[in-house]
Amino acid sequence: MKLVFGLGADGRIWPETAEAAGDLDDAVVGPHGLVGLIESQLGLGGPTISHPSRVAAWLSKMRAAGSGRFWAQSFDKDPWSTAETLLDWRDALVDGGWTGQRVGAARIDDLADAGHAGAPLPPSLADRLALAALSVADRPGLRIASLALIEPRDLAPPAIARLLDALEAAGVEINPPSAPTLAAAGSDLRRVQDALAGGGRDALTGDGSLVVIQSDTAVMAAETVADWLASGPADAVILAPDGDTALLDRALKARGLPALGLSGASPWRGALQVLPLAFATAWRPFDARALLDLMTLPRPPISRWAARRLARTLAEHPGTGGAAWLETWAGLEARLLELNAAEEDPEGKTDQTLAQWRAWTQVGLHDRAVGMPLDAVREIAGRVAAWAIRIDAAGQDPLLLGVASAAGALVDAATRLESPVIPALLLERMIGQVLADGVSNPAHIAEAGALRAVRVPGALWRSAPRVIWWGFAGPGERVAPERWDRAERVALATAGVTVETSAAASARVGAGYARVVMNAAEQMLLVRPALAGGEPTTAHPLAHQLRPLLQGAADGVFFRAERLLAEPVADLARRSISRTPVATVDPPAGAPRWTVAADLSAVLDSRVESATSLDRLFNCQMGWFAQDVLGLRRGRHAQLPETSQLFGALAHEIARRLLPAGPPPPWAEVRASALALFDELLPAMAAPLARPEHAGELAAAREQVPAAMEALVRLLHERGLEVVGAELSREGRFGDLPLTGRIDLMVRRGAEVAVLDLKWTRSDRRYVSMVADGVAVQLAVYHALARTDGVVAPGGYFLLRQRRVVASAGSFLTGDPVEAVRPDDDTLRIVSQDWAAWTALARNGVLVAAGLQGSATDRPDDLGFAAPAEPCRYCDLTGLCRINVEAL
Amino acid sequence: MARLTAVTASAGAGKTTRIVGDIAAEVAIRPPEEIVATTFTIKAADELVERARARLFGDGRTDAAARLLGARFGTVNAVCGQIVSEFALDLGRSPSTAVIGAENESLIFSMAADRAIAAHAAVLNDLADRFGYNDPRPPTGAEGPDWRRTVRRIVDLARANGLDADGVRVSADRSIASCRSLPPAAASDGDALDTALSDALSAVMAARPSGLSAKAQRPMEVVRAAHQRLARGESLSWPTWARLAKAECAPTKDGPAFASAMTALAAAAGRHADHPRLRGDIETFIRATFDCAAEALTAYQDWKAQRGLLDFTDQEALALEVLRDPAMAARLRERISRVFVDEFQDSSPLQLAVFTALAGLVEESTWVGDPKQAIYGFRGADTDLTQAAFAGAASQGEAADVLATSWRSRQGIIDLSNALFTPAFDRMGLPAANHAFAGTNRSETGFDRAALGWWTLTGKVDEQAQALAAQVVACLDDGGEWLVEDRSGEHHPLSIGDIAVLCRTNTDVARYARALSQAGLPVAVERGGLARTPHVELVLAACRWVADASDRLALAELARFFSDDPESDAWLGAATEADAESALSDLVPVAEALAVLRTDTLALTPAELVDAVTALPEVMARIERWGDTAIRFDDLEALRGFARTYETECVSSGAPATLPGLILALDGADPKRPPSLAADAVQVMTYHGAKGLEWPMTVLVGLGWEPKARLFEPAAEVDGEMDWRDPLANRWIRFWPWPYDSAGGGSALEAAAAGSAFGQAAWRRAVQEDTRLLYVGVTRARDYLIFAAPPKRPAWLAVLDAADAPPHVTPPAVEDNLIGVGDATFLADVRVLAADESAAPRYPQAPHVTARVAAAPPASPLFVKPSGASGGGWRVAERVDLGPRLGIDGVTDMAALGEALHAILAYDDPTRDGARRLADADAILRRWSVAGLSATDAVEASTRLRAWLAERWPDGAILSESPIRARVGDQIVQGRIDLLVRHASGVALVDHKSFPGAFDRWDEHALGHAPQLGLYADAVTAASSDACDALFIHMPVVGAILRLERDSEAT
Ligand code: SF4
Repeated sequence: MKLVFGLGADGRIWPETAEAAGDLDDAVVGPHGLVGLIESQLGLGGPTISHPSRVAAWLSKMRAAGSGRFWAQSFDKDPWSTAETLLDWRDALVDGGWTGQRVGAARIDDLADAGHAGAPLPPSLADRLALAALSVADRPGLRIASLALIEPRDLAPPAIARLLDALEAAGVEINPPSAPTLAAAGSDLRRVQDALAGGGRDALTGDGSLVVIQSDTAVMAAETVADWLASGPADAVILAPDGDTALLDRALKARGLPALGLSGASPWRGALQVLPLAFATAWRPFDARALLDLMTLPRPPISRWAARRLARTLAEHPGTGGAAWLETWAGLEARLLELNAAEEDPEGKTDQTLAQWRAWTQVGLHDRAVGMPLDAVREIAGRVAAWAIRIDAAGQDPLLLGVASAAGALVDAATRLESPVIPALLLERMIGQVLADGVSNPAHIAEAGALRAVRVPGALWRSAPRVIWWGFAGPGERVAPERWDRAERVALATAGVTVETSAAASARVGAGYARVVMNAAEQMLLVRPALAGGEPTTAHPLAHQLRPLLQGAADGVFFRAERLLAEPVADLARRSISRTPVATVDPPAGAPRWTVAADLSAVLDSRVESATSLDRLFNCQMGWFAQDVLGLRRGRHAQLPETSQLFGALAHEIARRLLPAGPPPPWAEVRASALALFDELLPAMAAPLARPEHAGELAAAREQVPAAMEALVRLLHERGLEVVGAELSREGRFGDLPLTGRIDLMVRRGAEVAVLDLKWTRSDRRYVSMVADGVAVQLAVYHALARTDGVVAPGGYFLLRQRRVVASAGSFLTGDPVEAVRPDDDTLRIVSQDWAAWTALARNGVLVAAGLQGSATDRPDDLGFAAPAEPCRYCDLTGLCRINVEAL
Repeated sequence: MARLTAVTASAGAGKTTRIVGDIAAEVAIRPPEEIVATTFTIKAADELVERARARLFGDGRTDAAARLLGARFGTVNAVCGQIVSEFALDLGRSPSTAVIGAENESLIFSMAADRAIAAHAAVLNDLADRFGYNDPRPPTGAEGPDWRRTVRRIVDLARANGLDADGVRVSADRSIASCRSLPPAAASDGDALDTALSDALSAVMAARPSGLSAKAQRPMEVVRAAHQRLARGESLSWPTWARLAKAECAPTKDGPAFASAMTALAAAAGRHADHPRLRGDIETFIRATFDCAAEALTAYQDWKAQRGLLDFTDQEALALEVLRDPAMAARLRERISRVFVDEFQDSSPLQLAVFTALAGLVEESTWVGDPKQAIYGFRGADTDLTQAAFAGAASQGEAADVLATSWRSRQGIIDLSNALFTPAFDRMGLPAANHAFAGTNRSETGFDRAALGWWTLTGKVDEQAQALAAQVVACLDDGGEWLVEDRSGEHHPLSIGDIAVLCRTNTDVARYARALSQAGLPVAVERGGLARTPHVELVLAACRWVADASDRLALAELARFFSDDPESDAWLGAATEADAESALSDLVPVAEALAVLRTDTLALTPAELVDAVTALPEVMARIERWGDTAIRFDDLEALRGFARTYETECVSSGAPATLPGLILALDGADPKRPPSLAADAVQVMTYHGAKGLEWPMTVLVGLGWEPKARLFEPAAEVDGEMDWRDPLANRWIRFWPWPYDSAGGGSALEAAAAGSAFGQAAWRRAVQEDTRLLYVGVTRARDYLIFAAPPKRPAWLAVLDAADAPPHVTPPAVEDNLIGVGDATFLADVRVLAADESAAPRYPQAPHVTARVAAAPPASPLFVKPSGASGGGWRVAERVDLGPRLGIDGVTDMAALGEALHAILAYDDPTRDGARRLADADAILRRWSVAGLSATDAVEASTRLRAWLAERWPDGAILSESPIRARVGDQIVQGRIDLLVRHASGVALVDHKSFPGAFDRWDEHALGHAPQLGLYADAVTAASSDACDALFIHMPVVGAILRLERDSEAT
């Protein structure tokens, strides 16, 4: 067996094989590949253990090593990260030849003690390399004949160097790297290669053999590279050090070229979210957002229709166990029974499904301060894994299998901790860790063709005609500072341990960069966007080295990618890229007036208006038409109500419960019962308020809401009012205007009824002036809806935070009325008039967008409601109307 | 203290070159890894390392250059952060050192400080109400005051100034004492003041006439509300007192009785300043805020320490802790020996403490900076301190080390700068000897126009901006009149990218950017509104529709965007159709592609989805057709960046990252548009943002700015003489709350605060800071410096005036072309600019586009793993019985059994010693935790396989676990072959399957794996050109070998 070996040759490499047609029983390998081959030949292999499991095992060993260690304080605070860090230290020592012995330096001896305490630690790559080096001498079976090196032997890190020595001692022929095929003499690329090899420096001529492509953005860089590849043979090796060619691949695909298929591993792929979310919902105080996120995933863990319903309920009343929640579950059960009607045992089947579903919504079971029992961790992780395997349905989708294996790794790691309860922070760390490696996009694969991509410089191990360094930006591989102090290094050296110095690492890394240039046989393109992902990029370390070589270079060495956007033909690296000029068109523009050709009478005839829709109509007819008539609305994104809305909803519900029809309750007890209800309803319908970040508001509201209830009841007593009902849905008609609405609170004094609308607001000024100016549309609508006999009932706002009634004269709700410019029934009349004028206009097919200049022209005359000053301020349609568009 | 050098470098005087030269000299005498070079921005740090390494490579010192990769170059935070992570265990912290993103800071703080906030909420909410925090805000969109923000600000200041919880509590005492000393003294009887006010209110109410004058309307609203409040038994907020104190009416219209009642009311309310309750409220507020801050500080620090979270302040504070601890410092001293600090003047006290401690640790330090360019007082830099430190350090060097020759600006600009600033700087303790320009290296040859301009902007602010824009257009039209010189010394006509407009506020940035845009000039400016640009809106609408198919608004927007006619009403027609959904979709050419993407959301990350949407050929093509593609791509890049940041932020907040989540985050954040990098755009930015940059023509606007001292927000104060060697000594935080909300202007409190020693010091600092900022602006110009000033004498220039002296700067008189500065005059291009309605519309640059294929056909995968192969067309051609079944009854994990058996079959060799074979097999079984299979049985399986092989191919070479990689067609097949026999006529392949099934299922099982073997065979033939037609499935557990054949071979 003949091997080619390089540090970067695990994973995607170029060329893939040493022989053109292919390698049989020979291979190009990196450290993992090499050690894997040796292990199988020497019978040393074993199962792969996930990194989190190793960390957990090491964590137990550190704990077993007892107190008084140098890591003690950090370990107390964050055992996971401490273990992870020290495991890394320990592995690096093994890499340097450490066999776990004490060396007479305190920190290292602490590590040695941990290594000897507790259950065995699964091996790292360093352990495996060390074992392989040890075993080749005396175990039979090795059938590697030769090893051709990609990098010079003296640059190898210690563990590799030792393995190479051991292999050589065992009779394996170790061959030095072969010389690359350099570019044609005299070419720019060759000049750079010569200079990098230590030769003299000649100014570059711009012959296109070496080009630095500079673009403003990564988007433009992708466009440029794709254009270049499309305008000649598309055969190049692309080095993509961030390991992700998604952006470039999309540009390539748009030109009919094959995808390179490097996909970054990310923990944020839709499917992976289920694991952290399932755990997030398990803590107390309950995180409504997490449950909502879980239910709105593209593939939620319960049936999608059911998840949608629960999500809707959650989004309106974020909490579980409240009335709305129970009602939704009842609905789910009913629907399931319907669906299962044909089954043998519909009830049983339904109960079974419901139980499965409930497991996902049994939230807030564990106190963060205490931690989660290991069994619960197993249950949740198991549930997630089962979900992934179920929806995978043996499709072998790597992503879903990734979820299942992450869940498995979590359980394995948790078990290795040997502890019955796992603290919240530790568990979160572990979840983060099992996801951290992420999963790449299984659908994003390399496609057959002549384009290749590699992730690391060392993976380009032989000369390629054309090399493109995609994302030629810093920082490059980091060189870590020395970890051990002088005394420790001496102790280590005495014990025969040689850790790689930072100088040696720098030399190795730097040589690796230069080798990429040496391995370009004809052309080398270096692509540097100034912005990548919105962040300014820094110079790559190789760019530092090239800087003096590129000084004074002729035109053609640097190419500004944006030129392509402005020039029909641009010469770039020996290819000429043509683009077609096109005439510009303007983006959509705002218009104050729109016309509809279709006959709208049917739609308009069937309408019933509410206070909200009328408010919108008087603000902007276009806004009303688009949203209320056409239903052009933003989707139901998972958005929880804002804090003040939640308090408002809470207060409404408390009022509804406190105030059944009839005489008001004695006011002395109101405060206490309101407080009790507040605490009861909070987790059921306003759970987000219990989250830590709302401490200030919650403290305030717990004071204010009961006080407001008390004030409200006191008002009822003082003014001799009885409750007719709360949250009353009403339909009605005022003249031609059909109306609908829900009245917060209806009260009566004798035969007279009045409506109260409860508001949770910071500012009373807005409501006072609405009443004063006679433009309180909402009150007007309720006035109309309150009575069925066509008589307008009085009413007002009750401002909960300010604990005051805002009502105009003529209402028996207050002795301190607001002076209004017109009586309530006048307001209602104006509402109806304006509505008639606007709808008439709509019937003629004319729509006026109030936020645009010139809209006044088409406004009907004699409207009662003045044109609003800032119609678009709270409108969702600014994008559609092209309001506030930024100039370029 | 070890060697310490301070280098004073005036603007554009080549300080980076100096540092690079120093570093090049240093690597000759010490290990390059031991060098620390730090500055304040990533860009500057990047330039430093690039130039230093390039210099070494250029000098042929490749080794040193390579090793410099291991040196510590970076921003102060990066360098401190690295030290902290190296010493995290010594510090007893979590070794994970995740840096908290700015977006997350406030959330993390509020979670950590939850208890502290809840504990003080009752008191502070109540007082905040009385201070009017909950009153409606003026409709400027400004955030209202919030005591929790103040608490956080105090916590931040405390950390930045090295104060712990006790230090915070002491600050409360100091704040109360200092506030108490502000006049007037409290009146003795508060109740009397209340009664007087209440009576006055009632009197006004009683005396109000039926028709109020316009003047009295607003005051009466306040009166009425206040009256009602008192009637409800509630007390009045202090802003209400302040507003009532300004109550007025129109005596003639409203009548004398009402007027006198109003006057009496104003007088009664005017007593608020000496109301004992106000004093009490203020003191309670201070106390509670600081108490809350002290508790929150402790909680916040603990929270972060446990989670391994750091912010920038923590990085510095903890690095300082390392430096101050003898044991840790000693270890660090082994690793670093030479320190360079660039832009030293921007240090905060904490950073200065770090630099001072470093200087004490290493062999030599060099601090390079320019005290004249210290402009970050507003974010915590203490200029007095850095200036003292700079002077102190300089006094230790042998001679003044000064870089005073400009490499940047023309003579005229240098001269003007000296004339403008020398006296003011001298008064600030920056003598001309070290701080005036000595001269310039620029030559005047080739210029035929003076370097200075004074353009007076007339009209309202927006008109001023338009006027300037028109003049910029005019200059560009006459570019040949405004020659500029490039780096190589050649002169060429002024072009768009040569011009920068510097503004004092972000509002001005937006205003001037808009005006320039409207005048047809591309502008490069960081400004708000990323999500309001058509191209980003288009992508976002598409994302919204992907995230939620019910978002019909998004679909309608898409329909608009994809129309060629900007005013087309096709979307409206579609939306009114019965099946609006499909009618709208018909107008959106990407509707189908987006629907496909919707099904991919499980596999993609939110950021990848944004990319996927953006890259749709029709989306790209549409955006390109709108012209100015480069600028639009900049914005799209910023959107990509936002999506990526969103994902990273999700890591530290522990939230999931989803597409709807991303869209919500975008809605909430209103992200900025990046400054365009396009070379052909006018740069518009703030003076602060311009630091470190230069342009051939620099236009200074916002010259009407006046210094402001902010006294009613938390601020760091120092007691007594400051000692730059101990920068954190004697510091405390002063906080005087403002109890009047937006009212209270001109109140006694305001006047008293301004007149206090603190007020005066703050004012001095503000004036000095504005002086330096102006210097930064002036020294950005290479060839032309233009003052674009309002018609009145620009207030900002007044900061240059000496006390009680005539104005230092005299603007050019009408019809004159001289700027007067002190006794000198300077020739300038003088113009008066007025807005011109007839500005030409902007024509976008015609785009050049590439042909894109809409839906590329899916290509075949490049890499093929045989294990994934499937298909039929095979049969079992031969069955060999190897022996009885192995006992595996105790095996639970079949996968592990398979792995272990594979390993044993690969490794075992019947020629070896029997005991050894058993021991090896046993070790493998144990490694795989396979308990149910005995080593004896496993070895037996190997023995009988080998026997069969030896019999079948007596001379065959057996290769186990043999890697293969070969080109088959345009694909690459790769994998490992379990067992391969090279024999005389070709190659045979054997695949082990640890299948335990019954006899009647063997064929089926083997055939299931046949395509896999077939593909291996193809690969073997391709790689070796050996015939490979003998394919076997070996089932060690059941003791059988089955030979497989393609159906075609049989016929
Ligand atoms: S954005 Fe403005 S113009 Fe458009 S519908 Fe809304 S309110 Fe009317």
